[in-house]
Amino acid sequence: MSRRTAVDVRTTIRTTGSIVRWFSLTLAVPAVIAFAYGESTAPFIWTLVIGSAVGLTMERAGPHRDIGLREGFLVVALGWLLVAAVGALPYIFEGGDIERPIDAYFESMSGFTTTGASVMADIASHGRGILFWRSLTQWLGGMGIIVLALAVLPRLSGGGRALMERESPGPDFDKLVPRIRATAARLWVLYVGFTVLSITAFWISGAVGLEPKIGLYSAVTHAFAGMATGGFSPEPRSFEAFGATAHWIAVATMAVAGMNFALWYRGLFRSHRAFRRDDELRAYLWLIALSTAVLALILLLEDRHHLHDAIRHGAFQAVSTITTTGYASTDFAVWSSPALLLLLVLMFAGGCSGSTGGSIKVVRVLLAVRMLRRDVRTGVHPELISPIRLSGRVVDEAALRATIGFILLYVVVFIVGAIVLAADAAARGLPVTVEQALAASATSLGNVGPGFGDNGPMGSFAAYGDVGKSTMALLMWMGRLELLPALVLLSRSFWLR
Amino acid sequence: MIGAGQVGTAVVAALHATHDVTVLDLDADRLSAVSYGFDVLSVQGSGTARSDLLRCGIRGTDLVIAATDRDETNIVAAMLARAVCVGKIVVRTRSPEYIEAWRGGHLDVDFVVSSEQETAQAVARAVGYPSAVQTDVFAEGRVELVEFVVDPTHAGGLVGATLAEARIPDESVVASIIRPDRVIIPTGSDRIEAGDRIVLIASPAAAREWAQRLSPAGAAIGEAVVFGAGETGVLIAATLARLGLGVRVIDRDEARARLVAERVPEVRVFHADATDTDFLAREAIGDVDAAICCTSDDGRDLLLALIARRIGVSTVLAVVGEPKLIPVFHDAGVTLALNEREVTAEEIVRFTHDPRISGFAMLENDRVEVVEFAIRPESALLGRPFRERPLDGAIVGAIVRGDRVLFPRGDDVLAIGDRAIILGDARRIRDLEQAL
Repeated sequence: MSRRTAVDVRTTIRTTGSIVRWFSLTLAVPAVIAFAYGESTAPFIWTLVIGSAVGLTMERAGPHRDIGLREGFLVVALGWLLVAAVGALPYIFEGGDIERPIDAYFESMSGFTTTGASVMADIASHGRGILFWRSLTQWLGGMGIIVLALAVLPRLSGGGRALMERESPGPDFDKLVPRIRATAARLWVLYVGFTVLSITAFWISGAVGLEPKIGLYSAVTHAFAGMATGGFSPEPRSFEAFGATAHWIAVATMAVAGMNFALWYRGLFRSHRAFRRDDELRAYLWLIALSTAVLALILLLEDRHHLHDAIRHGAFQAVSTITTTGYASTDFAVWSSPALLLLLVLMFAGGCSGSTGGSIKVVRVLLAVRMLRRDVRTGVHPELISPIRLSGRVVDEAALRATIGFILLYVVVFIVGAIVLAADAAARGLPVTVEQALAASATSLGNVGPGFGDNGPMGSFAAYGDVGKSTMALLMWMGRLELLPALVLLSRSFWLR
Repeated sequence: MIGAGQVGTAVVAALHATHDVTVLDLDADRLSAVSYGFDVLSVQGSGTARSDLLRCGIRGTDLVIAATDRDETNIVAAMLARAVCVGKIVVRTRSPEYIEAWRGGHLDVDFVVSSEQETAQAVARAVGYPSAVQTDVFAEGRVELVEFVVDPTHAGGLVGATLAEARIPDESVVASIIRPDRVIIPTGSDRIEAGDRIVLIASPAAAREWAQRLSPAGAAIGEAVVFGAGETGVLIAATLARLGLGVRVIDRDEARARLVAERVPEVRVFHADATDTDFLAREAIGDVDAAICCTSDDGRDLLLALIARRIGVSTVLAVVGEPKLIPVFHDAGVTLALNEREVTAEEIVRFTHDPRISGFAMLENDRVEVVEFAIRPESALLGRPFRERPLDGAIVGAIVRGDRVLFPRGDDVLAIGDRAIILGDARRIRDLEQAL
């Protein structure tokens, strides 16, 4: 009995090839930076050549055809795996403290998925070119490499919806304008615009002497990783290296990045009322305000900081964690358990749908809370019909079921991940606590970045074994694609007619 | 008369003695019923066919009424009529959406009447403001126009004081005071006297506050239940909810119930059989002040009315499909039984009796009109505060500005893009149109 696969593999390979080939060109940027600082450009040039060659070869796999729903899943899933692989090459070629391919792949995947978890034990030993590349991968991954490809490559737009839907974070994806390509382009223009603003703010703070350590290089890299809610910093001590001004600029950058970019577009260019009407935005801002207050209170009560510093560090870590950035203004790994547990919980919130943040997303949490409230109400009034609304519009029951399903799945993957990581650590004799294993799994799956203990913002994940590192890279990938594309690939019905 | 259904027939019945009426309908049986009943000309044909319209002499008619059961048919017929005939055109619709379009100037007809909206308004008058003589709604229901008779025995401290001194509810403007001999467009120095009729332009909540002040103590209704979630039921529920009543809707069809719950967030919707007394007891339906039966099944409505009376609801209303059954409902203790089509026909006839009206609401036999204007950049009134009384013989009752509705006080000014709801002397309204 022969069964042919229902997926158009050739078109998938061809499209993925186009994405890889196009994406390889971005390596010219770190090459220029490396050249400017008198470092070797070879790692980047070689990667550019190899990436282009791989892409070109794949493009010869078949004729160009439009992408269907199934191919959409596959292109996005494979595209991210492959782009991360190509992006890992410079780390290997550079010959710093990342030598093994799995470490390079971890670092690259952590970059593109805007996680920000690192296996670099000694950041200071790396060149400026490679650290720039690290921040750039986050910036490229923030708005999405597929969305970027859609915006730039005209041939991709046939079936573009299937692609963009898979990649865009949050439960629903909406077009801003009739054409998918124009939608993608608008999102990117907005993204670039905010990034430029953030760079300018950082740079001015340095230029006027408020932040003497910030030059143009620092401004650009930190704006890149901040806007992408990534969290890679060329500074070994992350934002601890800077003062209050830089901290507040970073908080603003992350908070902006954690908002829905489609909402930004509507609010800025159509009607500012869109902001006021948005339930998710309101919940997001409340979440930030509340968690800032609680963290600041804990820091005050424990006498770690004075009022001003407590608020600043509270706000910084709250926003950094909620938006899944992972910057740190202070080493929060040494904070007490209540503060750490709060941060662990916040890792599950994530930014708004359509933001550059990862994790479950505020809107899903909000819907789940509203469903719980409804269950309480209908418990008392069994005949009551009460639809659940979001920003005034009724959410249909199928979408609600999907939301609950997603959250459940997310938690299951998180727990399985934590168990595997704990087992790997135990096998290697690492002193990893339950708290640390849970944080490592949550931080990878939620694309946050730093964990607790040795994996904290000033530490790294270098000590984990190959199994642990590949598990984390897998979790980052699954988290960035919001589970479904990753899991669909494992299902029989995807491959068969 | 396009359409010889219940509305058409009721209108014909009221008009045939004083007008030369031609009735156009597709259905031969209905036409023969009309032509045997009344002295009119009947033509078989379609209201959406130009040739049929011309055949019944539409060119020379003074008044075209499109009152079939289908909105789109009525609108197409009205558009065709507009192209060939200079008379007034009335459209009957089932959807308030078309009324909004018409008020916004996007539907070129002279009058639009919605059966559901008229019925809902009639119910709202009966339940929401028992002392009101007439009501109308503007701006998607955010602005109410209400006419009250000021009963001297319970005038709520409003009689005698000047309007500037009297504690008038916020979000309301006294737009007109009607005395037997004259109509006053009041200023702050005018007084309300016992026996006056006053016209208010107000938010639904403020209109209700007025109603409570002007009616006998204890008559206020706070909770209502609507049986049946058809189009009329939904509109009644939404209208009552806007007045600030606690409204519950019960329907045994889950899809309908869900639809109401989605469309009207302010009401609580139950998917249940309202004849299930256990359910009624569990939800304490007997404690409500008013029940409205509108399930579109007269038999069931009657049963529900009896049940509602039995469990202790004092005011029971019913929307009845067959007008001849109305006395039966009265026998069953129903306070007010309405027939949608009769209500609609009455409204059309009210318009027809004075075809000079072009305003959107008419009061006091055409002496006062209420109209809705969009404020353009070239308007002479822009930026002038209301205390300067920029309008002569007219008053701005409400300003719709984006999502907000303002009930102007002395310091407010008109801005570009506002929609102003203006009450004024009928003769002055034309001048106003120029000024605005």
